[in-house]
Amino acid sequence: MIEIFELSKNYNDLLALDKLTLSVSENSIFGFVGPNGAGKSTTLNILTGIILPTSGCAKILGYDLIKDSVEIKKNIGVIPEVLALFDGLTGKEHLTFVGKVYGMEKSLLENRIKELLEFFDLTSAKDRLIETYSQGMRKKIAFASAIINSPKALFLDEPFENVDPVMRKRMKEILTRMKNKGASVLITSHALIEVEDFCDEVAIINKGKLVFQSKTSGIRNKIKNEINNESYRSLEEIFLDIVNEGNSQNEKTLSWL
Amino acid sequence: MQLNILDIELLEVSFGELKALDNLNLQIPQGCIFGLIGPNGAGKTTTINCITDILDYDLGKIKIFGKDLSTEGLAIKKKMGALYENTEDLFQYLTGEEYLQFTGEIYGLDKNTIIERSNTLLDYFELDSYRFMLIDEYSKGMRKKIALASILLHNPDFIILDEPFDGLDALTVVKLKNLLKKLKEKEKTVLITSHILSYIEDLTDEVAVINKGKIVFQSKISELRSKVKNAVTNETYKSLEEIFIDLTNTKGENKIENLNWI
Amino acid sequence: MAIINYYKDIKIIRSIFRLNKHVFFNSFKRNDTWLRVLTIVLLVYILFHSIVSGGIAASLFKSFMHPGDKYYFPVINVSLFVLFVLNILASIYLSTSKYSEIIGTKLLYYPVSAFKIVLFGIFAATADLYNLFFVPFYAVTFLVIGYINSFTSFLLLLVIFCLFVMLTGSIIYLLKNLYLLIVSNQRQKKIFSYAGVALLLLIFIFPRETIGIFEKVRNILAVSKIVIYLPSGILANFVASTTGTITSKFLPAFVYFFLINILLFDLNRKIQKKLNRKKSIGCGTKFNKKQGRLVLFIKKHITNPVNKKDLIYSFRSTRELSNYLLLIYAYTLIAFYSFQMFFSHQIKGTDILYMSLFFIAFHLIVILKNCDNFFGYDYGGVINYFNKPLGYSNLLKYKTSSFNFLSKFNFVIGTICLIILQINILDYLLFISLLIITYFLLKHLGAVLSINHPYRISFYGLSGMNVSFVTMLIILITTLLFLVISYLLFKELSPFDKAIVSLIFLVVSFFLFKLNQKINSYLANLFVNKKEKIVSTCS
Repeated sequence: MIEIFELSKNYNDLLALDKLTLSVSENSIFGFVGPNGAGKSTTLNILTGIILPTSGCAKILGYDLIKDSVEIKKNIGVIPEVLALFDGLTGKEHLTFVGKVYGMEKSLLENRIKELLEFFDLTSAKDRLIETYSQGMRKKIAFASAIINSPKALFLDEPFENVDPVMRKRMKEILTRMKNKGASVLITSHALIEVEDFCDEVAIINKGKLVFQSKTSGIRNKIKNEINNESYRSLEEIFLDIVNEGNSQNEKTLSWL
Repeated sequence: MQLNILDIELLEVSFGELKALDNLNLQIPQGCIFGLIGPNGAGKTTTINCITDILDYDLGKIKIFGKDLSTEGLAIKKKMGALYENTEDLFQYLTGEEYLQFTGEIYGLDKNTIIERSNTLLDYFELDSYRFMLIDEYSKGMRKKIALASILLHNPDFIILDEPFDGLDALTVVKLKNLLKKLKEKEKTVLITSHILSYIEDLTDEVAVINKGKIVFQSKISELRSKVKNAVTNETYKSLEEIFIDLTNTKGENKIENLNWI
Repeated sequence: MAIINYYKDIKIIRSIFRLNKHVFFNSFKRNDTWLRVLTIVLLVYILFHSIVSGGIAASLFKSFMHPGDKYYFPVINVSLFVLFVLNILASIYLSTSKYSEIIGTKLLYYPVSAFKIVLFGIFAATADLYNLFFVPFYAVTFLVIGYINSFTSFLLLLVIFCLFVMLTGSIIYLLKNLYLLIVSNQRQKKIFSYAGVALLLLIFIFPRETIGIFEKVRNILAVSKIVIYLPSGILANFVASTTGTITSKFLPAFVYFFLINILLFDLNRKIQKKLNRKKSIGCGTKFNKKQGRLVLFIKKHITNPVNKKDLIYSFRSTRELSNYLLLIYAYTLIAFYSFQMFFSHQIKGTDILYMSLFFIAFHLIVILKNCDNFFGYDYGGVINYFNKPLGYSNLLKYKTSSFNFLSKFNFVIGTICLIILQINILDYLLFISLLIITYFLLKHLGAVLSINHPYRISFYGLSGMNVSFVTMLIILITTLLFLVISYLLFKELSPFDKAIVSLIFLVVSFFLFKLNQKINSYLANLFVNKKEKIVSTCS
């Protein structure tokens, strides 16, 4: 259960987040979308305890964001935008480190590592340094690190990026199972088609403000604005309408092509 | 007779004992938007690196525009452009504008053309307010955009886009889709890879699947759903994803049931 | 309950230590075996050297001075202070602190508090190799000079010394983090780097004055009175002062070190917290910066894109800029002092020539450093040289142009100086022909090194080695060879022999010039095979 109340973040004169209020219930996969610079990463960084908000509060799994930040970190799984992997470690060493820091017991940890490496097809690469991994492999290790502790809340920044279709399917299977067992999963993504397909609920953030929120199941029946009264055909359309300020250039300007 | 823009024959590349490309054959006809898909480690990046001449191949032949890459490289490169998955080819400590200028000059464009086209491109990709910012400080999406801008400057006839959609925001995705349509109208050839198969199905004319260093499947998109499945079920495929999983998923043991604690 | 939590915390700290150990040892896995062996040999040698020189210095000192001497204690005190400062500077400036910084920020994602991150950081800084190298030196010095006459006093010294080493580690960690804090803001970064360069220049311009402070004997006593309150002073007092026994001085020393350590720890924690917060400002930094006039000038007048880009880079990189500035000031300094001495008739022109050989050798170092690694700052951008219609021979030409420029500059300056110093014509001929041969050899050597051994250099920052091991070795050998050969040639040969040798050199240079084309195409061909290595090393 993730509860956010009027979370704001101010960088000198730049208001990155403006009184964001949101909640992700248990048994739910929540898609968090928005254009670049809208505040998605800032939100995630605040919720995962990397930066402090200027005002507002949040509760994650019942723990207060600021007072119990170490407790929160013990119980959540994170894939940050930058992946935060230790390049100087091998895949296996990294997972071992993560498990130990979460206080997992030795034999349990070893078993889970073995299973995860097999599931993600990383067994042959487990003793290679992470810096030799391809982007897709790094994503897989990051994903494995995030779920190794069976956390009840997950914060995943573009989890499927660079991941091939087969692995994508597997990751989605895992997240669905975790959700069914009560986890709250917060995902950011730019692939709106995917968000519409996979998430239960979606919110659009623009310029630090929450501008749209809805369950994904009924999304194609939302009515368009008064001008043509047609319903939207996809999340992508809704997104474009809300976020686009109409100043975008046309490809016709690229006249030399 | 239609000219093949890209003609790869029996390409072989090995990294030590690992054979990355194994007698790869690939032909891309002119004017086609061609999708190349495959699992991680299948050889996509290796193939693209060979085509763009940043990786040497052990055996085989690569012909672009009918010319041999190893002997007529300069002429070929003048009309080609490539977007790499990690945008690692950007000069970190140049500003966006300077990088475009660098690219334009290397392609032999004259000064005024470079300035004019750079301005248009920076505007188009909404990077105008970041033109004086070092590329090092760009976000991932911005890097993709400046890389895209840099390959359009010299009006190439053959464009390679390696995972162009990853990291792009939804608005730019739409822009890119429209751009592809325009390139198709002008009979340019595009080689595009993506892990989001719905994009590939939507945008490409023909698609090939690469796995373990070989092309294991190739078909026009229009004929995709009429291809027959294996002899066992004789059913046709319902989507590109199905074909993909069937062809590349070799391990049956990676069942989610193995992770019983999830 | 509290005990269980405490135990879990210890486990986390243990995992972090293991992390650091893994990262450190894994970094060896990457390099070639012979490099690994060489590094270990070097480490053992330096350790040995540290012990031996410490012992020798201390014994020499003891043989010259007596405990009762007025300057006995002040000299120990001030020397220890200088050592202390060198220790800290060496650890900051030379250590490639890749893992301590990166680990510090990455650990934020895990349930590890700032307290633990700092604790780990201090241990890492203390256990840093460059810091530990000084330890044997200190240790041996104390054993020789100090009043260690019983096992108890040895134990007490051990305790105090451990606290001292930890304190040094804390200071190193503090200064590194302060630097990161300053550098995280672009504007502050610029001010800081210019201030640093200005300071270095001051030392170059007024070397006499800076060193002179210590020369005056009176000053040692004055300095000693001040530094005795610093950690190095307290330690010196504990070990070597004649007033009181070790046991009686133990308690005040212990309290002092303990308190200072706690103070530093707290300071470190505050700075770490600030750093953690600062780290996250990704977007929103300055947008429309105004173009510097120098950059605009470059863009207007340099036509080829590669040179343009390289020049822009040199002006943006604090490292490159400081290299160039040092070069210019080295020239100025040398010229200034040698002219001064010549015109005051203190030395003959030929003696200056001999001296100048050292400085030419220094220039070789700088020049070679500038041309041995073309692709150092390019990182992934090297790909542009291969996938765009540039051509290998053009690439070679453009990348060696800065070397050409520096060499010509060196040549012209050298000529002017030698004319002013009224060197005779034969010596001059020999000098010029030597330079020309060296130019050709270095140019091609540099190209071969760049193509065969490319490596990344960090763009900003002054710390860390920016020369690879191989290059360093080659630079040392080349410089030594140059010095020895040129000295012998100038000193030992008769005028007639000099003429002959000059002629030979000039003829060889002529042939090398003719061969230039062939060598260039050979080098260009190297690119074909090596571009993979270049791309993978740099990106």
